[in-house]
Amino acid sequence: MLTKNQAQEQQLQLSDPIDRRAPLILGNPSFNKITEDICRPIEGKTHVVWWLYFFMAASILSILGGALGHLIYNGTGIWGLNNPVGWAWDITNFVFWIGIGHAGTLISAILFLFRQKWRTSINRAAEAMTIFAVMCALIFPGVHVGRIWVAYYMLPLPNQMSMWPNFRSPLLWDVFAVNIYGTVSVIFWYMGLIPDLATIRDRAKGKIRQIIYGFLSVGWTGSARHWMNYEKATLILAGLSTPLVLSVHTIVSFDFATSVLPGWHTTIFPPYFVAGAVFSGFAMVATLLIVVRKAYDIEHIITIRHLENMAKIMTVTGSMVGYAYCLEFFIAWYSGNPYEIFIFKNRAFGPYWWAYWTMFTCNVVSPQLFWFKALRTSPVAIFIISIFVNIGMWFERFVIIATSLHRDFLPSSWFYFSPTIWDILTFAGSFGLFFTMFALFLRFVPMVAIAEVKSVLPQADPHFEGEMPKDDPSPAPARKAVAESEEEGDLMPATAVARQGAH
Amino acid sequence: MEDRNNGKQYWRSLNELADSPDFISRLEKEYPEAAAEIELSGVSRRRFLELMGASVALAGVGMAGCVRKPVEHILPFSKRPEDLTPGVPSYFATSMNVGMNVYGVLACSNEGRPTKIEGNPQHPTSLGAANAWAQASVLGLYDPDRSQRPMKRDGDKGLVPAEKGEFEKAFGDAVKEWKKNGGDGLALLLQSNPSPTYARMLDEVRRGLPRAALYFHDPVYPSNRAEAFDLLGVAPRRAVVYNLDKARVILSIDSDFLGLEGDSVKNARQFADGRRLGKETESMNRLYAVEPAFTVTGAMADNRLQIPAAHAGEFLKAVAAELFSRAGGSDPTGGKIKADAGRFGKWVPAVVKDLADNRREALVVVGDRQPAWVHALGFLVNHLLNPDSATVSYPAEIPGPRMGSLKLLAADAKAGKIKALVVLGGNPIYTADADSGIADAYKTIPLTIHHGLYADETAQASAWHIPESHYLEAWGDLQCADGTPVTQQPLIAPLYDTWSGVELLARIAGGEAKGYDLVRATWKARTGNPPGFENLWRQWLHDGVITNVPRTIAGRPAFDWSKLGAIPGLAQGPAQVDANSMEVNFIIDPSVADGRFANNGWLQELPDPITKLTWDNAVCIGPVTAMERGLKNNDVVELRFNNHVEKGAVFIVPGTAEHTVTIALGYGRQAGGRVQEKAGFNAYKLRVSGNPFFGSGLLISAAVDTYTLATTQEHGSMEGRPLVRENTLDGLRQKPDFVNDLEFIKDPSKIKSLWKEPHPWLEGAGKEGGPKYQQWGMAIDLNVCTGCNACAIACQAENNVPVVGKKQVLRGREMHWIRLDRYFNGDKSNPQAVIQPMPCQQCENAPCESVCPVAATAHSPEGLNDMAYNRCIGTRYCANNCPFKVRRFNFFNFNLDYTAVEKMQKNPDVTVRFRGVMEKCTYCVQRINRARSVAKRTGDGHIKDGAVTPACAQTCPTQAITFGDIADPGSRVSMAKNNSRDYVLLAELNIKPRTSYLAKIRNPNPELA
Repeated sequence: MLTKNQAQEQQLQLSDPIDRRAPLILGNPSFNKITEDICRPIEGKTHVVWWLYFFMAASILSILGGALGHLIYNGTGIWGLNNPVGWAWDITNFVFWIGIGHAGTLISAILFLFRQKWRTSINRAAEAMTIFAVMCALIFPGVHVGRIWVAYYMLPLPNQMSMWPNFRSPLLWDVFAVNIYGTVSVIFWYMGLIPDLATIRDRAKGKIRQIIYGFLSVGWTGSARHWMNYEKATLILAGLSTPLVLSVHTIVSFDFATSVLPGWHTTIFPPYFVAGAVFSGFAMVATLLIVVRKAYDIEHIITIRHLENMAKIMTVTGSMVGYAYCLEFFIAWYSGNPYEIFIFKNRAFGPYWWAYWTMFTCNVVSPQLFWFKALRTSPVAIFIISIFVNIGMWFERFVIIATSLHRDFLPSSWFYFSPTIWDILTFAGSFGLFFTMFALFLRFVPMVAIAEVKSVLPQADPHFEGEMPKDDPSPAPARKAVAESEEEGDLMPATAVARQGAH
Repeated sequence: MEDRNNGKQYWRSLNELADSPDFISRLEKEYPEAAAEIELSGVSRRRFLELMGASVALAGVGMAGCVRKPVEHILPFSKRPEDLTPGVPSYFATSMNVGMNVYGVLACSNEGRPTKIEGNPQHPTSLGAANAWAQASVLGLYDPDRSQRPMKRDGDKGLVPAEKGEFEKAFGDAVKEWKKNGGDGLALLLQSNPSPTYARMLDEVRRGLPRAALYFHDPVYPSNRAEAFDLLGVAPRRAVVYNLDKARVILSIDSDFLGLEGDSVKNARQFADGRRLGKETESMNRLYAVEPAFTVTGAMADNRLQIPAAHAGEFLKAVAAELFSRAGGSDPTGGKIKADAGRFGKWVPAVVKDLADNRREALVVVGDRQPAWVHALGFLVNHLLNPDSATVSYPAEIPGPRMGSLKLLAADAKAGKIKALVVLGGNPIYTADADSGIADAYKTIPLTIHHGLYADETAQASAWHIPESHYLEAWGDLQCADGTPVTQQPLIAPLYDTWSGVELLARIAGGEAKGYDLVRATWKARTGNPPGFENLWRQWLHDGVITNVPRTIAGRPAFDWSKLGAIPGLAQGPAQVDANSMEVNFIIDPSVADGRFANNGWLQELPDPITKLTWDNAVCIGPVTAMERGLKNNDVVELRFNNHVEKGAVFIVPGTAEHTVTIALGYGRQAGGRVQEKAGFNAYKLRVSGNPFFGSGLLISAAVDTYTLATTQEHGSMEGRPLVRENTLDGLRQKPDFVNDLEFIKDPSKIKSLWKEPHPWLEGAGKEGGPKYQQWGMAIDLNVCTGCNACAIACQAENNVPVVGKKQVLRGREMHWIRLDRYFNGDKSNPQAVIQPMPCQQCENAPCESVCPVAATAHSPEGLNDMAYNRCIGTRYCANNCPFKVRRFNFFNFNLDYTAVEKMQKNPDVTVRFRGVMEKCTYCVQRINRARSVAKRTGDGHIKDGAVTPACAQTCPTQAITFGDIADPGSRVSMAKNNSRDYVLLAELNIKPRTSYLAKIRNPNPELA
């Protein structure tokens, strides 16, 4: 008779002979079941709920169109900006969206290099989110300029004036950083998509579908050579993306850190911004995937374990951000710079105290709740806290930008900023763009990396000695499996153990 | 222009085209305006060619490409008019007046368009400077809301434009009638006008129409001072001229002689001259101000006593009484002057001692708002101090307007004595005291004719309104307070169908003459038409000042002091001012005056020197009074004064005496232009005749509503930052370089620079050869800056700075390139105020330049922080990174809706900025470039010191702003910067501003410390 521990050990040996860990994907699905589960939303009939979601998102997107049209026609004055506060919601939104993007790159690049297998369930959606967030982000620096029609002056294009952009300006570094980031993210994401697109192509029934997905999968056959190239390219792109995770938000923070304004001119900004970006990015990934996994019945692929991991990262990065908040106050006091001391007092107790304390509560207090296992394994709790983190991180950027600007050196220029309806609509509209893109993503692109998820199944291991799972592509058993595993704790996937034990 | 190439091929068919009926119909279609006027036989040669050229071009376009392009006429100077070089402005000396205050100006004309006003250096009361009103007057010329043609009242429809010639006919009939009956039933309502020709024409009217009645009404005329001469038996009345440069100790009794009253431009210059400190060992004058609320004069004061206006006379009484007792002399009033000096603390003995110790150089100035007896007392105190004092003179006689008041006019009208009334200028229906009854009486007059610039409230009530010529399009003359006559010449033919005041008077008198002939006739008569008159006349027009005309300078008036005792006001104690009976003070508004400039966008948007309010007046109260009554900014309160009720929004202004309220006149207009709509409330509705400028018994309700006021400065404290550095004269003498002690980083060597120091462009500064380029810099002497706002308007006019409107000011988007920061310091209940002009600081290590992603703002080799508007994409990053927040962003296209007439004001040397572009002070780079062009043509290209002056510096009445080449150690600006009081703002940022400030010094009486 084996002891309970020995039995577990034996089961782990059987299910994952190398890592000897509990399987990441629950319900012991077959390879085919994975394909079926992930392709179902793309191939099946469009669900009425998707249509509802899509139309809501698209309506909000049309608000963005209207708001931008009004903006371009009439000028930046439609926003609440004023003389001391030259940037407010526009750049807040930009930094907010760029920050959100960071989670995707971190998951697909850094976690890849660190061989974090759990990333395979979430990297596709997270990367898609990155791209959509960068799209939303790029809107704001693009349209917030006074003369949108000459915004291309920021690019180093050959011109009759022999005029270069000003390479001393952090804003220009920003243009390069964000564009590189966007480009690499798109390439990385698309490259990762190719095998899956080929899967869709191969399964496609209609002619049009075959042509489109055939075109998109650029002749992928799944040959060993293809796979070898694919692996190499992934590695290279992961290597390229890894520094970008750190550099983009570092450079975004330079917009502020290299200025002379108290409250902006701060050396802690680069790490603080990167931590904040990862923080907000994971919050957004969690927000989205908690809904998606439920809606698309893929809770066995994106499991509580994934959510818990993300919650842990949020706690870490949230604590880093909280540390930075406190350190800013210390440095302001320690520097003896009266302007610096004033600006931080003003942040916490000035006219924008409510923004500061909203930020502080959401970003510093709320992620600490994840110390409780019950909360970090509860999708509802994670969902709520992640929303708070998103709100808090938006306010962080607003606090940095607006409260530093509204009261700087000369008290004669001090002025209060309040947004107009157009500030609000433009920001809301950017969510329309984001969610519309995300709706299209869910409908037309495999939302989970099929090939990659399969590679973390126990049976993908060459040393797998157990019985191949039975092929039952219907969704119901998976849901049951998840429910059962949740009852027993997710370290011990009960069904898998029981089934293999019986064998 | 590109049309011409397409048009070329059609030249051969020109005649054919021109004669064909098809051409004419086409012309009519395309040019309905021109077509109305074209009768081919009767068209002038030039007009014909103009139309031809355009039409041919149009035909070319129409046929060649079927593309409609706008056709714009150009006028080549094939024969250049004499004295006109395209692109080179010419200057004409002329003059304007506000009430009896005369401003001598040089008007800049660009291709026939007056665009900018400067002070006339040869003019005795402007001395080369101009105030905000004079600066802004050029905008008034091009105001599209100005009346453009005679209008008549048409029943319920109100004023409608009259048919051509309709008014002339009706008016001609009336004049014939008056001529017949000697002006029986005719009344003229006049306002103050210091013009000799006007006076002559008035005499002619009197002579020709002896039965016509004359009435006088002017809300800005300082009649109290004039009446004081009557009280003291001096006839005729005299003008009072202060020679502030000769005064060492000045006591201002509720006077704003540096801001609004009298020859404020000259006063400010002379006052500044007595105050300017080169070295710390020099002496400076001392100003005591006694006033109920801050004026720019009070803000300049070394010692300021904040008391109700009703107590100012009491203060002066105490001063007089103290003087008697000190001198041991007898009281010419026979002991009538008694006052309780105790209520003013140490003030009376200290001030009197100071005045008496400096009696040869002492001066008491009594404000226009004070009643006549206080002025009489002022004359006495000045006389007692020094009967032959050089600080005050009475050089000119002014004819007393022995005319009926508005109240009398109303009574006469109600009695049916008046059949016809001609209102010559002014807006009496609006500016009338609440108890005058004129509004009702006016309706009973059968024929009312209003002559004015705008179809204002009075015009709306009149049967006829006839437009008046702006001073820049009219001939005239004016007489300054010191008696100097000056000329007024038009720079442009009247834009509309207008008459000047003298032209209308001439017509009433039965003649008809052009203003030119009328003015010349006056001076021909005065000079006796000597043989060289034409030369004299040309000289006068050139100089703007009428010289070589013998005139008598009046000596000291023979005051009869014994009459002083009989003045009723003198014997009465001061009115009670407390929480139950507050004092209301009406002031002429520093922006819109009595309301005459209410439709001037520049002035409406000009922040008040003290309150920094734009677009509105307010019920200004002190912080203590506000706290007691639980009022806060923007609360609307109901004011009840002498049973007249009006509502206004509260604005808390430190430095306002307890239980007093200050309200600016000139707002709450109902008619006469679109700019002034909804700006403020009408304080005239609270005024009563008698003493219309202040009175006690005001009741204020609790807040009944809210109304948002637009201020350009919300925060008045410096937060302990060394922005305006200030010391006493003694403090300066002890530590001449005290400004350095206020630096955050006291040892400049501790500031590590990222850049090459000194700036490469500055290398060799001060040495032989010097830097390759001239290096521009500015020094602003805070010790003499009064905060009068003239620089702000001068800059606006020079640099085509747009007006944005109240809504945008509320959003913090005002565009002024130079703003005047005002800070309060000291005790909250009795603060001091300081003003700091803030143009672009033109930093050498400019934070704005390094952050611009497109290099639209870059450093010029001359040290200017240049803006390339064409390159600017409008990220606003530069403005964010500007520590002084002097950059201004075009959030909208603020220049969108100008009419063709308004566009004529624009300075052709300065780009009109489109929306989305950042702009800021350029040190008037267009003037530097013009000066360089002259220097290159006439010399080695080196601009001599003083050859270029930015608009702000040029118009500054106190010459507080010095501009020049800082690389030249001999330049005035270098010398100013060598002053021990010189400092730059935010030196710890190592931005090295080119604009530096000279610390403010006060010279308070140590006994009042």
